[in-house]
Amino acid sequence: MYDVVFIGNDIKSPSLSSFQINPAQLLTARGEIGNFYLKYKDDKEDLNEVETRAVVINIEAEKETPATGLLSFERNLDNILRNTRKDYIVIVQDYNELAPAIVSKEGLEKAIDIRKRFPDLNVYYFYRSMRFIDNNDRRFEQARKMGIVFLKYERDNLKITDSRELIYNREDINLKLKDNIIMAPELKPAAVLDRVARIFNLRKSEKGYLQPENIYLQPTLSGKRGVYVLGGARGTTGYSNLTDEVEFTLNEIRNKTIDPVIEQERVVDDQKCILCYNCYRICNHGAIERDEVLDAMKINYLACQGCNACIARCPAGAISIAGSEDKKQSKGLKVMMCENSAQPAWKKAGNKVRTALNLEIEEIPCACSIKKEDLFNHLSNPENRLLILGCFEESCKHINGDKRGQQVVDEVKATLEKLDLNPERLTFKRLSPRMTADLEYFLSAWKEDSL
Amino acid sequence: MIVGEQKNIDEIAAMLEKEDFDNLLITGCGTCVTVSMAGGEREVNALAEILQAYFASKNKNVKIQKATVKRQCDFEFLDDLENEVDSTGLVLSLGCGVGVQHLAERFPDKVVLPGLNTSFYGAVTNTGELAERCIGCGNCVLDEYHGVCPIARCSKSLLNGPCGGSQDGKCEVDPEIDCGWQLIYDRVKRLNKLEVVTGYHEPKDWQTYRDGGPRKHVNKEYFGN
Repeated sequence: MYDVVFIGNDIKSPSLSSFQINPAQLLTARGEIGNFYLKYKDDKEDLNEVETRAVVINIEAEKETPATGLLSFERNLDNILRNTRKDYIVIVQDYNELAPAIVSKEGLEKAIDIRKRFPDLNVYYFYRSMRFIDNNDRRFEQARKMGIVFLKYERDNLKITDSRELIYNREDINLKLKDNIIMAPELKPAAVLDRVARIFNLRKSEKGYLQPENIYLQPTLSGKRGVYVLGGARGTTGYSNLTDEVEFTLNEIRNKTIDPVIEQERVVDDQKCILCYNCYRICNHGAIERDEVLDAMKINYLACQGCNACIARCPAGAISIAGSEDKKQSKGLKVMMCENSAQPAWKKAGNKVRTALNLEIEEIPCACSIKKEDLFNHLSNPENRLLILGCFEESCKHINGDKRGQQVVDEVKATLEKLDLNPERLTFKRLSPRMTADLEYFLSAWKEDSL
Repeated sequence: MIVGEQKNIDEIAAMLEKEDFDNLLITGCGTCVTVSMAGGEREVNALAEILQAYFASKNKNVKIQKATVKRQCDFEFLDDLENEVDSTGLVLSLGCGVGVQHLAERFPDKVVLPGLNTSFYGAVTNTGELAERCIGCGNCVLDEYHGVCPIARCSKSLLNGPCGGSQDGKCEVDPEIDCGWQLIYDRVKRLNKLEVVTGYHEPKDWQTYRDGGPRKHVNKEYFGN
């Protein structure tokens, strides 16, 4: 059993035992935090399995030069610079899209290095936006002191033609520079990330990196417990504070904060489970896998973060909380509050307000836990009203529970509409835990409106 | 797998309006249509709740029972429903067309209504998304086309394609549909078997499909007592 397996580049740490697997050779990942089983092919194509407590995915982003036929950072430029007949060298950053800090850093270092070794060459550095994190401000200052010419541009000011000529027009500066153009790379998610995401059942960000945009996933959490993402696997910002993030990640693993926070255990009835894999696809924490002995899905107890999405979405009704009872029918105005947003705001509202409003409140682990049948049940009485309060987009602890809740609400409202059962009685609203005043105002308005 | 989609709730309500009953049994099916998220226990529960609300709004007092069996297409599972069916006036099945007919056959004295539209034979292509892959023609040609069925995947079921309506890999019928022949081309190119698209495919004998009337299988190894 290793403490950590690195998928991609490894990081040596004296107090952690580690192993490295090439992402292209990784085949399957089973188990959960504290106990992952990874199968991979070695260089001789033999099948192997390792056991590990945690996994760190550390794969470089791919670099792409944004225009063809020009020079790139990667290329060894010494020969070109030594033999050039021009008196300048040009670096262009942000050509298609704004570069992240790591690219600014490389660009500035490249410029400084060229200036030092070839003092006779003028260095022109074109950029749209300089990212001053990761000590880039010091590099920028140093470069300017060394006489590197920085020229800021907007999309309209700068063009590079097919014949490798850069044309720059800004106010009274008109420059035409042919050849000796170094293009800063653009970073793209490595192609292999798709495969790794599938194997670990991880959600990706919109750009295709392995950390979705979500405030709960700082700094290197993936959404699946025990699986961390670093650097280019996490996204372009993953490079900015890499040293700190490596330290955080290794500390996390070292401390093995493996405390189960779930007091209630979700169980799958293996007689009812039909292995449709809906729960597996819906779970944003990668906490569900197939039990090969029972031939039913199973929930990994430690990886589960208790959102109940699987319970709400199981088409066979096979998942439940052990020992839980059916809810009794409620009357009148009811509010279902997500325990991560509206509920904390409500708690801060103070007793007076809470008593004055006198509402039936149900605390739910996430908006994604609502069930169609429960909503219909409450709304079967035409006098009843239901308000569901979830999180803002990208602020859901369960990644996209707000959207999943919204889907159910939309579906239920559409159904009520078709049967002329007044869909206005159902409301979904997003809140943050800090919005106590807004919540108070909104609840009293909603109550007044409903009565 | 057989893919189903629940009928619109207003359509179901209109269907029930025509019947006279004060006791309704909603039956789910625990296999294909559960996987396609249309007729399993979850949908049965939700449908029961919304119909209860609907009947209440019409001042109609209806007792709703629910039962989901493993497969509506086997009599052995339907036997389990005997008590519930006996005590009900009407059965609303969330099984596929096979399940509905099987219930009607098994319980000849009861009205059995369909709550689903049986859509196609398909596969899960994304969370919550299913897509057609087979039409059940009765004479598989996937050997000839190396794993992509031109009958199910080409809007025109062309055995020799593509047609002129294939644009950038999409079908002229709907830009959301991948051109089946583009898929065939991509696959055979990868397998280095381009003769599939350059050669000629003989017309297919359609007697094995619906053209020969309702079909039946007899497996001689098992058939009879």
